[in-house]
Amino acid sequence: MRGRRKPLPPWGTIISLALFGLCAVLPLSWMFLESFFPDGSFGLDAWRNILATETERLQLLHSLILGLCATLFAVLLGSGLAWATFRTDLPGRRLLGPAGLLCLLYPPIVTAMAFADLSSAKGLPVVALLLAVSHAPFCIALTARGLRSVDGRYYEAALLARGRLRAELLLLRAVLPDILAGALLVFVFVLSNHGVPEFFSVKQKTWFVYSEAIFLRWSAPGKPGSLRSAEAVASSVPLLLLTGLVLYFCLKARRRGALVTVTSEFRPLPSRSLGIWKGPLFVFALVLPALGLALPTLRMCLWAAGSTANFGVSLEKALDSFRRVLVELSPDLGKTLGLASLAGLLVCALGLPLAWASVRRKRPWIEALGLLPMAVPGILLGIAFVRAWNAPHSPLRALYETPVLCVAGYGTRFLPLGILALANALRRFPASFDEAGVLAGAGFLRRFARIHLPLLLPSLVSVWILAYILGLRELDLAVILPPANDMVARRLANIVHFGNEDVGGALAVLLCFGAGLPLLLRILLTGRAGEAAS
Amino acid sequence: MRTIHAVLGALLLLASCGKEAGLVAYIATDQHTSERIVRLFEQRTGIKVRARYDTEANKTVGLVTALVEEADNPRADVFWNNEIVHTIRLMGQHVFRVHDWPTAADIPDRYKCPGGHYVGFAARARILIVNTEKLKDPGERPSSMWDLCDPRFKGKAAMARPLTGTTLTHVAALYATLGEEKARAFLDGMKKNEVYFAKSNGAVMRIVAGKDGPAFGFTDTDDFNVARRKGFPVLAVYPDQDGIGTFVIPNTVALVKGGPHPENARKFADFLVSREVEEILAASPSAQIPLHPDAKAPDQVRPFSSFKAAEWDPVKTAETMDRILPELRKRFGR
Repeated sequence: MRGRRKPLPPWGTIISLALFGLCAVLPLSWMFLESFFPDGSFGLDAWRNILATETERLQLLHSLILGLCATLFAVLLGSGLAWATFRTDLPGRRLLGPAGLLCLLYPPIVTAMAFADLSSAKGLPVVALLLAVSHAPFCIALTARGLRSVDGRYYEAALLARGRLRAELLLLRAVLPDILAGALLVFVFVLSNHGVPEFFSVKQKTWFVYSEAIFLRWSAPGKPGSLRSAEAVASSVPLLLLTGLVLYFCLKARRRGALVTVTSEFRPLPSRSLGIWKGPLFVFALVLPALGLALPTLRMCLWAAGSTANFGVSLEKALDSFRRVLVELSPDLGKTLGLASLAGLLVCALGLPLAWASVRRKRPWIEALGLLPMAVPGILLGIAFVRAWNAPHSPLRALYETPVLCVAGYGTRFLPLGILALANALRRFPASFDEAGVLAGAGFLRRFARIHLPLLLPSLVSVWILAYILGLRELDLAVILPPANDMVARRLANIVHFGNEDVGGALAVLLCFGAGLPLLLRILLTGRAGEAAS
Repeated sequence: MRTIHAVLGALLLLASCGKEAGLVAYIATDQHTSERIVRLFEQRTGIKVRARYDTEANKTVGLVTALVEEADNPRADVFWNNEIVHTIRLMGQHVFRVHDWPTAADIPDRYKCPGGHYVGFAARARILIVNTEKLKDPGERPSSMWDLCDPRFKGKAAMARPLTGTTLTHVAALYATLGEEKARAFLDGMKKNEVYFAKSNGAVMRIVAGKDGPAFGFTDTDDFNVARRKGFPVLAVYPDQDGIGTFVIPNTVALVKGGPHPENARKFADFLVSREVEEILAASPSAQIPLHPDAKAPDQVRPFSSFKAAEWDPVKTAETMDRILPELRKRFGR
């Protein structure tokens, strides 16, 4: 009889926690601590000025209202599309679901610019709608995941016993945590966006948000340790608290969402016939892909063809724009795709041990702590990296101008999504799988490789894809971290700002293609839209 | 664990990928144009330049913030800014070192730092872009900044919100030059006259050049030149030629104190402010106005000597900007 093996120290967790602490917790903590000592002596001057002006309070209120409106739109469009494509006999559902997910590929500002070419509408409704379109894929993916995880046998039993309405309500209750989690993610991303609200703010229809106020403070920064620098750090606290609160509820929702079990008897939900609603629902299902994918693609192609000039559009011009991008910018494109891929890998590599420790070793605080990089504005995280990695005595100094800083920055920024998704995936697998492995005498590594890794692989791939796509869209870190300077998102902003929309349009389309490639491959391989990103 | 090892290995491999550069330049101007100049410098000198760029879409926070944050351990050698006020602010934070600027001897003194910390070159003018189809009668076209407040043009004018960029510099310069009371009267007058406050100077250009919307607006010469190149029916009016003159905002270049390649930095800075680079920038799509009196420029670039440029003090403007920014945020940021 074999003796009980001595448990291995959780090296993966220890290393991941150490790296996470080094990359995010320590630099951010140090920045906040420093803000209590402006100009070298203790003082609360910087903190007294938080929300001191009516303008700032109004901007925070604007952020809240915008977040709520955009979230509502995103749930209606995203969760609605997921329901229509997963639960019904909607024509073209196999294409419409993935097409809705692909709305994530374009940065929100590109969608906004494309929309602005079509309509002169401004103000809150437009901003909320466009931000909802850009972030609705979170709702699609999570709602689809929720619907997929409900055992059809329970639904059918409820249908037989209690009737259609009660069965649908039961289903809604089962899926609600997933819908809520998607909605809260949308809310968090909308809160941190300042480009789209600013883009659509003119004259009386202004809709300035608090994240823009934070950005403006950094446009005239003081030296580290000065009162101005401390004020800029402290000004992010209201947004941080708000985001943190929302993420906390997101976490709770994700935990409650662990309804699925992996069993051989599992049966998917039955499909419902739409009857006369087929036509109207088909039109509804087209809204999201049309606004978030077709419109930007068409407008960017038209830009590439010279639509922003007064000479008319031509195919030759479009081909020339694409050729110029491929000839002149392919090194940047390649580097961008490469760095985003590595950032995605880092998210998986750090996210898995942290999620494991949180779920399997019962350390829920790790999951909560892991949300920190998403709760702080991107610019603050970037500056924390600069301070920590470029400090005169920092051991990381040698890596400051290398791509390692970029990968670490992007990886840290999107780590919360990795932890959330992987922790959720881990909760879905019953402990009996692991117990069976233990009884068979398999060690941890063997159990992990033979049991957990195959089960987690789809989630790991999804996390990688999500971090990769978000990495391609990220602009705040791209302007702060030196090696991220070659990322195409920053270049795209620069090109469009200086009036080269023809090249910008071609670049945006190619960037979208590069971002969508792994997602498309995943969808083609699995054939399921929801699985590709949930 | 295997994944972790693979990622760590990849990161270590990445760490060794940084190219050895002979010079690090932080550049806030149009990347497309400035890259050509950087490449030319590399060809001439054999010095490898690592350039880092910014984007005005993010309020140009990248490079200015980086220079401030890196001040104790500088990474940059040269800062090429597309305006002047941030350069002066950074000078106030002792980010730059002094240089004698031999190739900038004939640039007007008002665009040079008396202490030798920076030099202005290749300027943009704050002009009125006028759509000649919307305002067909030449006698009816605006000629002064005050026309934005004239009831004749109610609802027909546009300007970028003065919260960032050259528009903020322009408005701060008005406060510093005209006095606060008169500058406030200008802002109030524009509001009363229903001026369209756009996101950026580029947005002003696009809306004026387009079929609908305002007929004229304040923008920079480089944005005007984009509309001209794209074939829109626009002309540039250099405002207030009978009054305070047209505001001109130069690019600036400064050497970073403690930068890792001081000798190469000096060479690059001297190259940038040379007549040759000004001529390249004048011929580029951004059509910058050379400040060297004898620099050649294409027809579409109006020589600096051919119009009355406003006399304004950039240092005083930088100080004024810090003071008025809360007021401007209150007026335009809500």
